[in-house]
Amino acid sequence: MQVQGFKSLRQLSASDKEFCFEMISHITSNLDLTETQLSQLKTAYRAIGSYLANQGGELAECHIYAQGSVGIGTSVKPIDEDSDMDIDLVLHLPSQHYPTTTDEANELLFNLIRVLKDSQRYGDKIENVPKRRCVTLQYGGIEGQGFHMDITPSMPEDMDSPNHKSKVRVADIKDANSPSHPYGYRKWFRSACSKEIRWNRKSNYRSNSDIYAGTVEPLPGQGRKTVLQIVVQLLKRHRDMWKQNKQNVYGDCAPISIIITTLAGLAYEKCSNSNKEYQNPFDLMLDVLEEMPNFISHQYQSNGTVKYTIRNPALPTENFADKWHEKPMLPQAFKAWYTQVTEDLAKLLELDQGLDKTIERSREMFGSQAARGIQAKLANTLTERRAKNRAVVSSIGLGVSNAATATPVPKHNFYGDV
Amino acid sequence: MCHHLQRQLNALQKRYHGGKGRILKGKTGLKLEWRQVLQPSRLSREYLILVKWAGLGCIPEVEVLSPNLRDLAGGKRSPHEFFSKENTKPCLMFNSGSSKDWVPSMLIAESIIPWTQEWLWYWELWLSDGEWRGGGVHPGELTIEQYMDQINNSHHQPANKGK
Repeated sequence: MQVQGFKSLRQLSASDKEFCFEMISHITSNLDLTETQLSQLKTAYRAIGSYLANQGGELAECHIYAQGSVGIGTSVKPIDEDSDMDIDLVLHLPSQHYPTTTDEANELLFNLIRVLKDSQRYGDKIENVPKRRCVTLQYGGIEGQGFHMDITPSMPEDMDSPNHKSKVRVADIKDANSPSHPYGYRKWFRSACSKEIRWNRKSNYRSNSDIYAGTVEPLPGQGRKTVLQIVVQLLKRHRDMWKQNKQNVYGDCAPISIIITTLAGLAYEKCSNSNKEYQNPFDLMLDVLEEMPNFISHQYQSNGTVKYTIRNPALPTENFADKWHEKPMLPQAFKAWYTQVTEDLAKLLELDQGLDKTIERSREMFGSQAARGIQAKLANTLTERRAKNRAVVSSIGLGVSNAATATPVPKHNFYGDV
Repeated sequence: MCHHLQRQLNALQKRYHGGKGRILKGKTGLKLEWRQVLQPSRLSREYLILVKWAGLGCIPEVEVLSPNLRDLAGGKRSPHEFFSKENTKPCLMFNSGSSKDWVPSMLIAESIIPWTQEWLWYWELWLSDGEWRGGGVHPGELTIEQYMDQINNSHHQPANKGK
């Protein structure tokens, strides 16, 4: 799919593209969890795991791990800096059979609540009533950010392969159980992130493909991110802003994170497999964005309606777009959002408008944390260069690339640093 | 006198092909005038600037001719410009007594022009949130002429002491 708005972005020079990608990555840098937050969360959920395992019985062999965005390094902080952030955890119970009735599902979830209620540590933090598939623990704050943990119990699909790395079923208050594969999804996304991209020899961009090597049990450090993670974070935050816009009639039907993440992951895999040589991450990002809608398949039904499929790469029987058929607002909302995000990116990176305009637009499109990220980057870029006596002089402007031919600018003061 | 001006003009013409300059007669003698478009970054606006230099003993004076910065800022004046009723005149350096950022042996092409580019970069950031990130000391309500007087006075001070 050719995105109209990207025409101008495609035509940028290589150094402009690198600059633009730097801007994009700084939009997302302020949306990450910090290393301290990540390590404290990890300690916290491991402690929950040990507490539960010590209770014995079906819990004895339990295994707890992060699923969802925190497990794959694509989480974004809430727009409202005072609201809590969800941390999705799976509590795998290898020796327990999955519930086959809604009563059993309820019992399982209420039991888990009871066990946590009995704890001195978690007693006043666990919510009394489960959600559809999980129980919720209020965690409190780390560095000013509040967290709560959604703990979803999972059980083997097949008792012959009881490990959490196999297909599982999760308890479901409405449907008794539902098939799932959180570990498999996490593994798929992480392997997509570590796919080799053919970088042009002239390119000074290198991905850190070793970040995801091996089986990474802990929450991945989000300090070093791949292009795919940056794209997903960018899109999710744009979706959050788009959704809360009161004039947006599709707000209630905004695309869900798993759909955005999956389409971006599939598109990224395709770009990697295409063997195309990339000069910079910006072109790769544009290709990923353009490819995303191609992974939604449509089947026209005899009654004239359309069935949409976005397959879970880790569990092909699961269709993330299963509700789109009954609720046409959902595919319409996806289309509207997708059009908006591609137009917005082109508008954000429009040249010759003024850095103040770029910052203002980033605030409208991605929120105030994002705008602060860009602002800090723009301020630091020049200050660092001045400190190193390396501001770049050229006839067209201060390029932000590390042009080797740059002429040093003599140190000076704006009316004296005295 | 003229060869100082000519040296600066040659360097400017050599480096910035889009610019235009000349040496002309002013009230107090010959002076250099140089006009060119500057864009601090690709996302930034393009600014037409004018540099005037009246030769040794003077500092180059920079004016932003267009767009009008005061209008873009809704009438506000940034912390680092000289007082001026007309065009914005960025304050780029600290020249006082023996502490000098700029001396006539420096090429305008390699100092004043890139400094103006930096100044415009910080100006755009200032416009976005009112914070001046470029450092330095506020020139207050001084016009560039008043500032020049200060420089010249500080020039003469050591001489007076000598007497």
